[in-house]
Amino acid sequence: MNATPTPASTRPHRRRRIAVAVIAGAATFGIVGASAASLGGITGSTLGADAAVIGSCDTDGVSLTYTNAYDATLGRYQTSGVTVNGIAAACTGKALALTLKDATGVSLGSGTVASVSGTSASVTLASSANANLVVGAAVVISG
Amino acid sequence: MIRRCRSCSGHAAGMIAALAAFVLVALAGTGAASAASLGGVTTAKLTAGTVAASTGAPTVLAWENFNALSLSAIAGTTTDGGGDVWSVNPLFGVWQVSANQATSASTDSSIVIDPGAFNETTVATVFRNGATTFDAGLTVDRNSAGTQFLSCEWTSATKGSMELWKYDGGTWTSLGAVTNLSTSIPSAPASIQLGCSTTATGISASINGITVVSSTLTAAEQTTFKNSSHRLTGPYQYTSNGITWDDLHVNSP
Repeated sequence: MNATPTPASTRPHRRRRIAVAVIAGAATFGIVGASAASLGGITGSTLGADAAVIGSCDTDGVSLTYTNAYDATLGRYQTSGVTVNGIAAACTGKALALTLKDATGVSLGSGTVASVSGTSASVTLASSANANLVVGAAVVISG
Repeated sequence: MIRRCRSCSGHAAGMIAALAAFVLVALAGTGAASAASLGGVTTAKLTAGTVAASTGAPTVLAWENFNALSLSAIAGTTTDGGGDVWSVNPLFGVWQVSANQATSASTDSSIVIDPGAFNETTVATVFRNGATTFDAGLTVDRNSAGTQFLSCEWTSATKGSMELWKYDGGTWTSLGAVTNLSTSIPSAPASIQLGCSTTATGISASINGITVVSSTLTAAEQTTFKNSSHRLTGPYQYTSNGITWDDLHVNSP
């Protein structure tokens, strides 16, 4: 059982290499995942990846107006539509999605516009929402 | 030990390879595809945001659809929403359900509820039912004795008018009117959605959601009508010619 001992420096050295690989991997993944900047292309190896900067077509925000109507069956006002105003020209042709939410963040209703045209978009909710419960709206313009 | 050493060495190498693969998989996963040269990813624009929102819709204090058997008495029943009890005001007149609408054969009579506020908007669909001579609408800020109240009345006068009235201790005072709503009474709408709104300083009437006449209350009128003893509201008719009401609701404000 006189086996040759493993050089003392070998295992610590490999641990450092492993650590470097983990950090590099995590850092790289983090950058790509956050889409912080263009990677500018990756060379070498047999796999590559790239990421583009995600920009906003509207940088000054939008405003919302609502279409409400009394529902005699429910005995309350329901919101059936939302008009998104102040959309920048750069968003023309892009898809818009809107969701109304209540105080707990639960969706009350949503709707989409396939292609934005002009500075406003009228969103018809798939089903009307209790107007009094609406405290927030999420708007996404993508494309 | 040699075998252990080889094993360790091989295991570590395997871990490095695995980590390298992880890095590559991560890169490939976020890079939208394939192997080799990607040639760049098309820039996508995304605008997203969550904002505080308020629809501006009023809160409904009370509502009533008058859905019941025809000839059922309305007085003494509780509203569909809001928990208010109907009462005839003043104490004469018989208000009944007719085809799921409210009606009364009595003139100068109202049936009211107390929604708990004196600044509110009462809305109801008023049906003419073919009448060519009529004067009916909604009353607000009414006291329990029926001796003081404000009203918004759809009348057949001057080819159709919307009139605002104040009644105080036996004296009627016109607060405003808009006339010629139609080209002729026979061609007047079969029904309108009448809104009678009262604020701290004024009263207004709307037809189908559009304000058609309004008036500012004097300081003395505000003193008289803007208090907790003047909160009754409901259908009112000065003349009775088969007018009916439906889908009544009281909004705040």
